[in-house]
Amino acid sequence: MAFENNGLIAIAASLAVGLAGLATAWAQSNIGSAAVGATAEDDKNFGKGLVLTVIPETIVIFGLVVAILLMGNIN
Amino acid sequence: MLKPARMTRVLVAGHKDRMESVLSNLQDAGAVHLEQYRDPTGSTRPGTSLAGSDEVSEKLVQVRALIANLEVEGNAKEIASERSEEWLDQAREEILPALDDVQARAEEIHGVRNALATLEPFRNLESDLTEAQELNSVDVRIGLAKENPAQHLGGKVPHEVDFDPSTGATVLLHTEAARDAVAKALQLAGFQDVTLPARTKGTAKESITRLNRVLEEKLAAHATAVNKVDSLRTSWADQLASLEAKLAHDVELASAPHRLGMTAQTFQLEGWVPVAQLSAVQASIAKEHGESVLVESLGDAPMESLHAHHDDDHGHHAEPEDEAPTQLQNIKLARPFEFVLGLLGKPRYNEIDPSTLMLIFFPLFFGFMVGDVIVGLAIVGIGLFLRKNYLFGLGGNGVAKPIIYGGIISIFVGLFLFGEALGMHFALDAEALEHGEHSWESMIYGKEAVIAGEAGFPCEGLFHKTGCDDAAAHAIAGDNLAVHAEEATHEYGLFEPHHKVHLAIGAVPLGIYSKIADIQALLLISAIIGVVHLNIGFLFGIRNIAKMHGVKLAVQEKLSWIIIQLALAGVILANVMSLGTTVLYASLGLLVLGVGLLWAGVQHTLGAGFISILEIPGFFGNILSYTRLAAIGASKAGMALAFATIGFELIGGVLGWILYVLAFVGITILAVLASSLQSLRLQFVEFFSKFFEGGGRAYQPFGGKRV
Repeated sequence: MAFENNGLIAIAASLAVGLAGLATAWAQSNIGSAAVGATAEDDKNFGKGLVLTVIPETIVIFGLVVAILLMGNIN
Repeated sequence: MLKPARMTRVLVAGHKDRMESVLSNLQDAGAVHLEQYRDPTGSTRPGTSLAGSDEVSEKLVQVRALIANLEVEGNAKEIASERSEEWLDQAREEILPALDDVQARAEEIHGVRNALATLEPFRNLESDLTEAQELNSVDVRIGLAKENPAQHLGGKVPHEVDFDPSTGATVLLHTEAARDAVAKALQLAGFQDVTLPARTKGTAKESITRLNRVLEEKLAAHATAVNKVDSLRTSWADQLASLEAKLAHDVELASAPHRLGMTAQTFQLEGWVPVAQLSAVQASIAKEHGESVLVESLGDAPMESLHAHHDDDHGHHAEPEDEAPTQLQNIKLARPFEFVLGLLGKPRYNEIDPSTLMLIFFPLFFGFMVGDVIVGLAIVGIGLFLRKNYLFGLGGNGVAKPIIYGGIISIFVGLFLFGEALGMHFALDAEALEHGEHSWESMIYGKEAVIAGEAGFPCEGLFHKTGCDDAAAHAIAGDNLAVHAEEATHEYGLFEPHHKVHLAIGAVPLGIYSKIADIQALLLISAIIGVVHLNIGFLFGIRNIAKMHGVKLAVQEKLSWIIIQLALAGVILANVMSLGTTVLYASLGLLVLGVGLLWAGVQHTLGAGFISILEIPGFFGNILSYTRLAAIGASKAGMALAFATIGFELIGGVLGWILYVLAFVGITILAVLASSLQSLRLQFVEFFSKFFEGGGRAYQPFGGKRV
C-alpha cells in the first residue's frame, strides 16, 4: 500500500469533520430533547431552548476549520 | 438609544378620602409603575380593595369565560361603564344558550352514532328484534357469538335461532324451561349480550335506516347551531374584547390599594415614573387636588432593600428588584431586536441597552455568512412572508424583521465582497473554470469560449471584466506547461484573493474573495471581526460595571482584558517585526499587569483568583468562535459547488438547471436557519458575556396598555 500525501491529508480532514460532527451531535441531542420538553411545558422557553441547543455548534465548526486548513495543503 | 428611559421614584401621599380619585387619575395618566409600599417603621398597613371589587372581578371572570368558550379574538375599543353592564347581560343571554345548544346537539349525534354502531352487526338478520322482546312465554337472547350456539343445543331443546356468521350476530328464542341449557350452549359459543338501543323497532335493517334519517336531521340541526355560534362570534368579538379591557381596567383600579400603605387617616404610594412624564403626572393630580396631595420626586437611586444583604467594601449592591424598571427606548428599526433580547432577559436599569448594537451587528454577521445576491433576495422574500404568517411556530415581526435586514445586507455583501449570485461568481479566471467551477460568464458565453478568451464580458466600458490581460495571456499560453507550473506555485499573500478576474462597475470590483478558494483569508478576517466585536463588548462592560459596581472593579474585570490583548500584541509584534527587547519586556510587563488585575477582579467576584488564568484560553476560544462567520459561508459554497457539478456537468441542460435551483431552495433554508442562529449566538454568548447582565424588570405602568 503506497501512502500518498494527498490521500493522508484528505483522510485527516474527513476525520476532523466527522469526529467533530459526532461530538456535536451527541451534545446537541441531549440538550435538544430537554429544550423540546421545556417548550412543551411553556412556550416562553422556546427562545432560550433554541439558543442553548445551538451552542455546541462551535465544536463542529472548529472541526470544519481544521479540515479546510488541511485541504489547503493538498497539491 | 443606548440606555433605557430615565426613571425617577415618586411618592404620592394624601388623605385617605382622596385615595380613590388619586388612583383613578394615576390610572388615566398611565405612567406610574406602582411598587409595593415598603415602610421600615411599620406604622402603615397595606390598603384594602375598593368597594365593589368583588363584583367587578366576577364580571371579568364571566367575560373571560365567554371569550374562551367562543374562542374569539377581537380588537378592544374604549367603552363607557354604563354600556358595559347592558352588554354583559346581553352577551350572556345570547351566547350561553347558543353554546349549550351546540353542545347538546353534538351529544345527541354521538348517541345516534353509538346506536348505529350497536345495530350494525345485526343488519343481515331477518328477525324482528322488538317483536321477539314482547313475547311473554318465550325468552330471547340477543348478542354477538363466536359461533352458532344452536350447534351446542341438542335436538330436544326447542329454540329458534337467527345467526349471521360474518358478524356473529345472534337472536336466540327459547322457552323458559330451557334457560339453563341455553345458557350453557351460549357460553360454549362465546356469546356476549348486547343491549339494543332504546329506539329499536322492527328488523335491524329498518332500524338502521330510520336511525340514519334521524342522524341526518340531527347533523343539519347541529350545523345550524354551529352557524349561529359563528355569527355570534363575529358580531361579539370586538365587543367582548372591549368589555374585557374595560373590566380589567376596573379590576386593576379596585385592587391597587393593596400596594399602598395606609395609616388611620392617610395613604402613601410609591412608584417609578419616566422623567419625561413626571410633570404630566404632577399636573394631572394637581388639577384635581391642588396642594392637598403630595407628589414628590425622589431621584433614581435604587430603593433601600429590606432584604438582608452582606456588606462588602463597596457598600451594598442593588438587587434588581430594588432598581427602577426598564423601559427600552430605541428607534423603530431596532424594535424587533428588543423582542429578541427579551428572549434572553431584559437589561437592567443601569445597563447599556444592546438592542441598537444588535441592530448593527446581527445583519452584518448574517450578511457575511450568506453573501449571495439571489439567495439574499430570496431571504428578504421569506422575511416579508413571515411578517404576517407563521411557519413552524415562528413568525411575526420579531422574527421577520431581523431576517429582512440580514437579507438586505446579504445582497450587498454578495454583490461587492464575494461577487456571487446563486452560488456562482459573476466572472472567474480561466484556470478556475478549467478546474470545474462555473461562473455566470461561462454560463452565458460558453465555458470553452471564455477559457480561450474568445467570448465573455467586455473588457472596457461601465460593466467590464478586470484581469483581461491575464486572461488573454493564459489563453495564448494554452497548454504551455511552464505557465501552468508558475501559476501553481504562486505564493499568495495573507489577504490576497486567489481569483484575479472579476466583474466590475467602473472602478468598483464586484467580488473580491471566493468563499472556498480564499478561505484562509476569510478565516483571518473573521477572527479580526471577532477581536473588534469583543473589544467593543469590553468597552461597554467597563461602562456597565463602572456604573453599577464602581470604577475599581471595572478596571480589574474588564480593562484588564484589553491590557492583556495589547500586551500579547506587543509581544508578538516585537518578535515578528524585530522591534527590539525594550518593547518585548515592556509588553511582558504589561501582560503581567493585566493578568494581575484580572486575578484581583476574579478574586473579588468569584472568590478564587486563579480562575482568571483559566479564563484566558476561554477568551481565545471566543475569538476562534468567530471563524464560524467564514466557515458557514464556506459550507454553503461547498454545497453549491457540489450541486453545480452534478447539475451542469453530469446532467446538463434545462434539467440540470432545475435541479440546481431546487437544490438552492434547500440551501437557502439552511442558510437562513444557520446564519440567523449563529449570528444570534455570537451576540448572545460571546458579545453579551462581556458586558450584559440582564434580569431587569419590565416597566408596567398602572393603567398602561397590557403588552
